[in-house]
Amino acid sequence: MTLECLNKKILEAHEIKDVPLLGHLYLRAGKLFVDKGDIDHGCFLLTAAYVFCLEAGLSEAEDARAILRNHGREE
Amino acid sequence: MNLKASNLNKTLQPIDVARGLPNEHYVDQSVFDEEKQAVLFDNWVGIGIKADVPNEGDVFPVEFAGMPLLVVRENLNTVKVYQNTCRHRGMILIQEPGNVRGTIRCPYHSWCYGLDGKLRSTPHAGGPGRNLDKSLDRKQLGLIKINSYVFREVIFVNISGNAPSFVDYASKLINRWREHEKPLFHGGKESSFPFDVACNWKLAVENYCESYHLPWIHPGLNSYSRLEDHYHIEEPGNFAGQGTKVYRQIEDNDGLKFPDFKGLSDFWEKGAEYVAFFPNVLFAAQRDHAYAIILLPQGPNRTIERNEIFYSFDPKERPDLQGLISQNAKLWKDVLDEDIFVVEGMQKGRKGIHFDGGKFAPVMDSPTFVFHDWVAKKIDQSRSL
Repeated sequence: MTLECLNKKILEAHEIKDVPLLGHLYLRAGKLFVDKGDIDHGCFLLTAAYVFCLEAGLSEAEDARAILRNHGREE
Repeated sequence: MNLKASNLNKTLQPIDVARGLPNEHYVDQSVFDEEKQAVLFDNWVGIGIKADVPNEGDVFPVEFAGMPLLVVRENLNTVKVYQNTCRHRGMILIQEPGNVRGTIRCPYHSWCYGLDGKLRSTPHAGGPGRNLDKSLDRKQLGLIKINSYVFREVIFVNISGNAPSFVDYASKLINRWREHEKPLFHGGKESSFPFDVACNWKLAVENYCESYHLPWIHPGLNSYSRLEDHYHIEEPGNFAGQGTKVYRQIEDNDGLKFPDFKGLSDFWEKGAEYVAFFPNVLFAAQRDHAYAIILLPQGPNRTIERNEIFYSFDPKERPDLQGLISQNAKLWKDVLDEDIFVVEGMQKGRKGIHFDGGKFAPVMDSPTFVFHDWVAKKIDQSRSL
């Protein structure tokens, strides 16, 4: 999925307040940026992923948290 | 000392010469605010029932006399109550009942709290994508827990945190109704009916305390539960009410009745008790069902009454009794509805500027006097601090 497509899906998920989907999508987007070496923006997106995954009670919250921790951004 | 304080001297007298609480205790916002602290927040008040949060993760917001509270079912065995306010910018956290699958997320900046109240996440608090800040100790910033206790399925809270433990506070009623310490099952949707009443909350307590009004307001009772069959219940400083010696079970056209609570003594075969547990919960103990009325003050002139009926059995397991549950809910709704014009009428009457709080009829009004005396003493104590 292209970044443009991902952004579109994120906006759609916000529109319908689909919290688990927001967690999935932000996680995916955040990983893309981290992999590209844009740590700051990647962690910005992973923070959103962490929050929505926590809210939805998804185990992926730990994935987001682990990356954020690696970069000193989360406990 | 509050310069505008009401004069309680005439209330703090023996019943034969006392007058009831002055008008301003029913109509004045500043006195309502004073009572809110001294009478409500400093004691144990009912705010809801356990059935409001039946499943793990259920959240139920309550605004009690303006105080935002959040009832949370943390797990199967634990109900907790928090101040429903984010520790960051004071945003209200939950505004509608619902189920939280993971954490409680503040809708403003998305600080997240576990059902245990712990602060789990502070997104972007240290800058974009940086969720930590050395000044921000999450261990110190969990949700503010409010002392709570579930008694007879009612969730009680002590908002100020200054009251003795609930078990100490309620020990006399717990001991009086020790035999009734049985599992209670809520009757379901029909067994829950709120009234929005145009009166001060105390008038509902006062009306519930006494049997004096029964022959006039509930004439249907005269044929089987006469005034002389009732007795006063008085525990100064704690509760007051009335009992009957001729309780009659409801039955349907086929003679079907509700199963009794097991192990009750012979007294309860025909006995039933109706107690106002100070300040704001009205309980009934009967052989085959119970109820609680929770008074939620909305201001000096308005009260929400939550009426909740409970049984000795799980209604889901007794579909054969569903008709009788409906019939019983209607019966109580009709009876309690008969009291509304009285409490609203007393509220209107208190706009009479020459009303002096009222003369008690000592023989018949003593439970009501016990309540007035308790309120007056609580306020008096608070003013002397």
